[in-house]
Amino acid sequence: MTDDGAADTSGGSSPGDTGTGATTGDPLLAVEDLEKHYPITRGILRREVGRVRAVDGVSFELREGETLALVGESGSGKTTTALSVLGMETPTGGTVSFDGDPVSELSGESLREFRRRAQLIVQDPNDAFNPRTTVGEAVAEPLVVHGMDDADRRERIVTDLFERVGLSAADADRYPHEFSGGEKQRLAIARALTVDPDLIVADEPTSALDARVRSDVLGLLADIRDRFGVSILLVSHDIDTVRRFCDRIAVMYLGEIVEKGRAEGVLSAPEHPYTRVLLDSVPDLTPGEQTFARPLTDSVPDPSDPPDGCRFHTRCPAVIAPVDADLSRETWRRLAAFRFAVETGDLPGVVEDPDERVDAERVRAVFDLPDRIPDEAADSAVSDAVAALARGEVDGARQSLADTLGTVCEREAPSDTSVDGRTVRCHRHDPAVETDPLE
Amino acid sequence: MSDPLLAVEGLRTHVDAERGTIRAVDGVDFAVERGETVCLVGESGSGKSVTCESLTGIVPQPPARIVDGTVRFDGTDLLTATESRLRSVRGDGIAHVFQNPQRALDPVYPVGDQVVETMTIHRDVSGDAARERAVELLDDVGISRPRERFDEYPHELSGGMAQRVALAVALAADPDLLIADEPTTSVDVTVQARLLELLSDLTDDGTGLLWVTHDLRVVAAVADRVLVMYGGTIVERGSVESVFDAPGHPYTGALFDSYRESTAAGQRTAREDVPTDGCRFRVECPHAVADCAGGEQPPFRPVDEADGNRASCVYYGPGYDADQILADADGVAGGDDD
Repeated sequence: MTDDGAADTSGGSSPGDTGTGATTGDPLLAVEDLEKHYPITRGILRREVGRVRAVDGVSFELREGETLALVGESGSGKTTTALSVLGMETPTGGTVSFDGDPVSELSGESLREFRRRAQLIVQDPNDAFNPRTTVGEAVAEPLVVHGMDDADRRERIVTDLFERVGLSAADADRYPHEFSGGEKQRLAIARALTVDPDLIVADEPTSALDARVRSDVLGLLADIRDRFGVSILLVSHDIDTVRRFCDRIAVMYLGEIVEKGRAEGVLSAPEHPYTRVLLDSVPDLTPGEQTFARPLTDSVPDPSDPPDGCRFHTRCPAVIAPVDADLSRETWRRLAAFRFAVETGDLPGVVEDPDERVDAERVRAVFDLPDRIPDEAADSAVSDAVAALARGEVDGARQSLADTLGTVCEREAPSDTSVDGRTVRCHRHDPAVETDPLE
Repeated sequence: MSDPLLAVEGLRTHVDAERGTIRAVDGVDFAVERGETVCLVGESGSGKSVTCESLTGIVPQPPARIVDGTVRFDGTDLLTATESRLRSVRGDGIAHVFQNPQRALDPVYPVGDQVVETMTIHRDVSGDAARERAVELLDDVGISRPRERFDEYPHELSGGMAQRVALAVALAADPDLLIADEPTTSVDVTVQARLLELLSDLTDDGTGLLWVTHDLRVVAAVADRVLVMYGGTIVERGSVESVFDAPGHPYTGALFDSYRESTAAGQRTAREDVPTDGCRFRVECPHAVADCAGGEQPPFRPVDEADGNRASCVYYGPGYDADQILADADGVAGGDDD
């Protein structure tokens, strides 16, 4: 629901005002190094034993009339980022500035003003409405909260908004259950618009909707953005939505932005290996046998204990080989897949049975490892690891692989590098990092 | 030619609702062959899930009533079969996988035991052998460390893992037909990719797959044949290539459009306002004419080539110019974004 702080006793800003607006050049929203960590506590004293780093140093800007998509899988921190922008989650670090002012320092009248100018639309429109309130009252509610006492004027605004989102004024007296999901989402948009916002944060606004209704709702949002210059921060996992609707895109993985830039560029020529995996996992609209991206390991690591270095390295098909490696690209990929499966415990059944002696040959077969690797150090490390696994010693296997098959991707965290007006956080794009010996 | 694995004819399932009876499934015919993947495509309320759940009688009755039709599975008419016969078909012959995997899993039993249970009910296997086979199955569906995971409970698994377990349970009895209702809709795309690969491989050994989805990208990835549903009826049918190449029914065209452009916010018909005669789509159809109303749904006629996709639309009949529809409903095959 739209959190407008219902307890506010409002002197009221006039909802007719458009606000000061962002001057051209300055972003409306500037997020810098945003961090949201959740403590993991244990015992009756709630001793902190760890931290879930849901959002870990995220920066982006949003200009007037612009749409930015936050894209990523579950656990990437995209929703937490969006809610932190609105102050609905309290960041543990970094700053969110709205129209030049840090949101965390707002209070009283200026906080109320921020809550009017920045509105939220949630994924499930059923969560946004009280079943016992008519939708007309629900849509007018932000006006009341923000101090508009004139009932006639409220009604005029609501009537106008109903028509603008493709419903009729007569619908105002009906109750939420009488509307379909798509209509409810349009009502949620109408409600967000009552107070004439400058920013709409939309958290998966169309993922509960059918394709044609999704298309309708997106059309409506685009129309509002273009006509009123509203900025939209869209949280989405749907590539079709992002492609069609967004100017820029920020791809998130385990609490970090790994790539951001103009949507059309990122979607047509992704630079970060994670963006590529994400896009190559979406089925093509052309029928036929399809090949999907193959990350090295399937499991997304635990956000309370993200991998060192580049957080994607345990799954990255483009992970950089050791400097002195004498391997083919394909052999390295298999070795890396083997190594990180052992490292993360993402192991198939065959290497998990400590009671029976596991046949080293079967281990090699399961991981598609060559019988002999030309690089002698790699060959003996793999043989040792396979033998250790056969004895049920996963830690031993982990150690012997880590000693020989180390990569810069796990040793050093990559920094943001600018590539063709785009920001990519990957060692492959950092000129300061040793280049891949296999290139 | 031998009988298809599954043959559905004239299926009608009505659902009694507050404001009258909804004809959720209203005269549906289709077949699934061994080793074939048939996709049932439609929006919520189109009747695709009720169709699937009517086949094995798992649709809640009441409020649903299966009022007409035959469902022949491997020689047996399921609609007239006894409850004990149906029970043996469910699981052994036909297994279901749902959008929400928790629906198929029992929260108070370890996941491995649930795989073993399905296996021992339907197959002559027990004890250590069943346990070993269950570990193998969990391994096959991509559960890492299956021995360790064997003793975990459903709530300890991520959504993607739970869906894999649900799939292992469904496959435990080695069904001839798997009915998958939006099995990848609530998982992330990287997990979806793995599930699509897994399920596509399933048909290699002759298992038939009836796959319900609203996602045309999933259809393109898995389907051999496509059935497009609207308002309880099938409106278009054909091979996946023919339907994607030249979607013939105006509704199918609108579905494809919604992947490419933001449409103007049009009025969508509420389920209870969908007509119950003639073409069900006519209220929303920009091409609707007087002939669309009344009687049975329009007969299926070829859209393009005689052996290609067929649409239930009057424009493909005598006296109409189908080019008017095809002109604004280009296919997407070959013209994709990547």
